[in-house]
Amino acid sequence: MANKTDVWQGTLALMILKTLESMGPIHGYGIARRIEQTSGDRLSVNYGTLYPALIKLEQEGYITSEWGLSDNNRRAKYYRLTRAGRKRLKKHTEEWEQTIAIVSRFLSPGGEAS
Amino acid sequence: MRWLRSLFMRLWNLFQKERLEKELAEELETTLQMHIDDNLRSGMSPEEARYAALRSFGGVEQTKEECRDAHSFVFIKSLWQDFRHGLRLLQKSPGFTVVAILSLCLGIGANTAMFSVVDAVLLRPLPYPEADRLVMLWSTMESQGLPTSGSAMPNFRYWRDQTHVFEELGAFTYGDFNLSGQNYPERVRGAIITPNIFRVLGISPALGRGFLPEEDQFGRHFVVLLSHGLWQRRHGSDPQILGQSVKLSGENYTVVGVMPQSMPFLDNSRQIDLWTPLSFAPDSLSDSRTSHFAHIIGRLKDGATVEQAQDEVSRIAHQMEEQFPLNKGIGGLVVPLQEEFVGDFKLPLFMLLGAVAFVLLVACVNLANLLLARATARATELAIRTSLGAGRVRLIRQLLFESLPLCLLGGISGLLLAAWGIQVIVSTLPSSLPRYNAISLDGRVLAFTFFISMLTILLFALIPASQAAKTNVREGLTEGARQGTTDRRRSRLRDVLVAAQVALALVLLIGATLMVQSFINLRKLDHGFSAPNVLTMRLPLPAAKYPVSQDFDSPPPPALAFYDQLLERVSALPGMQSSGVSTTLPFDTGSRWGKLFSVEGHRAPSSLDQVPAVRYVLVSHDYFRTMDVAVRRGRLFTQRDSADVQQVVVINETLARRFFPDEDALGKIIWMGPPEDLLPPVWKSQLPEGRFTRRTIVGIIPDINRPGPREEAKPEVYVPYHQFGTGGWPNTMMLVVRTTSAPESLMAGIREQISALDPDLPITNVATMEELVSRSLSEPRFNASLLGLFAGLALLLAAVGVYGVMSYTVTQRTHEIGIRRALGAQPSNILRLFVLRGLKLAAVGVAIGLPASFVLMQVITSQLYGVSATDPITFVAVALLLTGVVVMASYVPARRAARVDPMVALRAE
Repeated sequence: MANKTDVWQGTLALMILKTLESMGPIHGYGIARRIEQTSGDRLSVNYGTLYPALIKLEQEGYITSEWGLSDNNRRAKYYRLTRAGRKRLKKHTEEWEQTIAIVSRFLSPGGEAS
Repeated sequence: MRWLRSLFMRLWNLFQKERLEKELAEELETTLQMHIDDNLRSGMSPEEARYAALRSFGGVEQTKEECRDAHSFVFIKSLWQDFRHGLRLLQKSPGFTVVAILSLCLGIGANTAMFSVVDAVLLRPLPYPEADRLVMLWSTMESQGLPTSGSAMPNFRYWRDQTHVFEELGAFTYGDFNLSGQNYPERVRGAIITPNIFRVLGISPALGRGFLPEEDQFGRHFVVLLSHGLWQRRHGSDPQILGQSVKLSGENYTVVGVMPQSMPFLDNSRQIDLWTPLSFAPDSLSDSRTSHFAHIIGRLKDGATVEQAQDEVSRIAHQMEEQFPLNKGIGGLVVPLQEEFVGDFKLPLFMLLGAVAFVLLVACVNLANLLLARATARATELAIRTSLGAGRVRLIRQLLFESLPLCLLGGISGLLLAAWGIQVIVSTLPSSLPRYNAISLDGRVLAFTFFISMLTILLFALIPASQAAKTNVREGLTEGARQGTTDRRRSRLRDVLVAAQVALALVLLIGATLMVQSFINLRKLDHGFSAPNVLTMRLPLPAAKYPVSQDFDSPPPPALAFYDQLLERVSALPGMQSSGVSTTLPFDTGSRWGKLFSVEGHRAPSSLDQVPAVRYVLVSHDYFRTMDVAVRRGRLFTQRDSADVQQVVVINETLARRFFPDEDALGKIIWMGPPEDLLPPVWKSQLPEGRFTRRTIVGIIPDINRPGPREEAKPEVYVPYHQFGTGGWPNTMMLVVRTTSAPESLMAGIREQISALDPDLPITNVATMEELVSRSLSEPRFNASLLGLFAGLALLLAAVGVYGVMSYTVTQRTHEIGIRRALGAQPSNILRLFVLRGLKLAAVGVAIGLPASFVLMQVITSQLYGVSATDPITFVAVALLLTGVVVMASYVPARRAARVDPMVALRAE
């Protein structure tokens, strides 16, 4: 039985990967801002979960990091998607879409009942 | 595969802590700054921007912590933390720690040491391939009072040829050789063997070859095998040794091989340095059916049992009896080799092992009590942990790992104690114990000790662990929690354990006391002679230089003149009171010569096998005076007892009792041999006038030769050596001197005199009589001291255990004591309360221990001397002593209880 934190971490990983795919190499703060933006400010990102998630993704080889210079001349760690990460993202997305489809059928009123 | 990559990264991160820390800090700082910058851009003031950023950041430290966890192994880190917590706990309660480690150390150390000895001596197989197939074959002559004896060579050959159960059967005997030629002369012990002996044992020479079958023929037997040690020592491990010649007792022998290193020859009681083939000169008397000197060793065929071998050997012996009249009454006995060496020691060694196991039990009880007490004290802490979400498994895991430091410390200190203990034990082992295997701390023992160590701790840490986890959380946290039932149950358990400790200690103490009493009794035994200021040594005159003729009519052997002259010279030395020689000294030192015995006028036995055998000892006329033996009746020898006057003998009391129970032995005529009519005519004709020398009994002395402390003396006949007559001449004698003081100081003078007569003669086995006495007591001394040591340890541990439990009880019941005081109880009442409690514990322990002792002591009856296994005085005295110790151990905490300030006690939670 997965508890709340795990599920959240699973979805967070997905969101991070998606963000990296669409934005290209970006630093941790940028990922957080982007996720908040994309969710229409309905999600607020806790850095206490974001950074461990980034570390884990890097350990698993889905993303890589390197130090670079930000816009305002600060040293920041930039994260990038790897090939494995891209594949993982694709797979993860498919799984989610499947789950959504199945759940919608249950939740739609009347539906396919015949 | 992802997890593998993740695993490696985490491992790698273990070495990167500093760098990761820095990077993390930097990254978070940057993020914070970016957030602030954004806030500034959206119009907040610098202060607002910072606060807003910090707020939405959440906890920085928390984030860092989470990241750190993600970087490495949380699981292992938490185990490590538990371990370190365990160490801290040990530091915080030094009393607990000291007692626990002491208990573990003593329990494990003593056990490991004792087990190493038992393992090396009893359990490990002999160092020969398939050693369980090796057996000894003894001749038995029951009717003559010899349950085991050497065998005659013709009998050996018959057995060898007629039995099918043995793969190989070989014979051997021991001999001493004077080794000369290269550098210094040396006296070495060798074995004289049939050429197939090493095939029996399954050992091949390391260098060269073994003996060829034809080398047992006289004339071809001048070949020798050297031991590795001898080869190293005298020949510097010369690789060209084969074919070289060495001089053994005057004869030249060719070296044909060298045996492998550390190969003990059988029981290794004497270092065997060389082997020569067993061969006989033609017409040698040694090769006759009456010369029972050979040891026979055999290897059973694969699959044959000892019983089968015994059956066949007995059957063939019976055949021999029917074929050869001289074999009448001779049977055979098959004994497995290991049994042969250690049979006698099984009981005492297992007794000691049992005793040390008791010590371990007592130590374990201490540990159990300590851990139980500690668990109860930590109930609150455990309750908090549970309420914070620690699962039961987590708790058990935590308590287990917290016990690990104790485990390790106790195990390691126990191991160190064992290593030291083994050295101590080895140096005090009885000299008679065979040590064909080296006694050392080996891998098996190591495994054993750690197993015991883990088992005891984990067992006793786990019980409280699972109990604690079941504790009702609410109870633990409630103010003034009494935990009523659990507490009482635990308290009862502790009391039971302590009573058990007392019982165990009682059994050990009684056993030890009995053994010590036995030892003291043995020491006080009247030996029949006076030991102080007497020096002994062995003079092995070689037959080559001092030939002995078999002919009864020839002049006296040259060795006789040697001894005459030697005694004269030695007696003249300053500081010498008297001197003498003998073929046998007390404690069966020297030769164990036996001869058949007949008394004139007594009813003659009907056949040879019915003729009794007694010990035969040749002595100089002054021997008894030198040994300070007081004659019971009659007279001792004088110088006048020479070869041409009446031949006389002195007998010991055992012989007098056995052969002359209802009459006076003095004046009786006896001879060393069977009635002549029973002899085959060809032998009878060889005797002078067809008779053995007739001798008259002129004196009776006390038994001075008891082979072992608990053994009975054998009947003995002493003959002045000038009158050896038909008895035969031995050449080797033991020289005994009594000095006015410090016998060793005269050694130089004695050596001088000996070398003046014969410069090549080595002197061996130099020992004072007191040393011999001490050696004869080495076994009972060993048993008594070890058992005493173990009993002492058990007593110490039990006393500590009682003290600990009582102390703890006092602490637990502080509140109750306060109430009692408040209600009017005096300090003396409190004192009495707890002392009585201690007394009760002692009483229960003694009540269990006494009947247990009663039963268990029966097992060691054979080891006791002069004291019964159920000696009531011992039992009562020890019980009282133990009770006293227990009461004293409870007195100290009781006093503490009595001094408790009621006000403080009532305020305590």
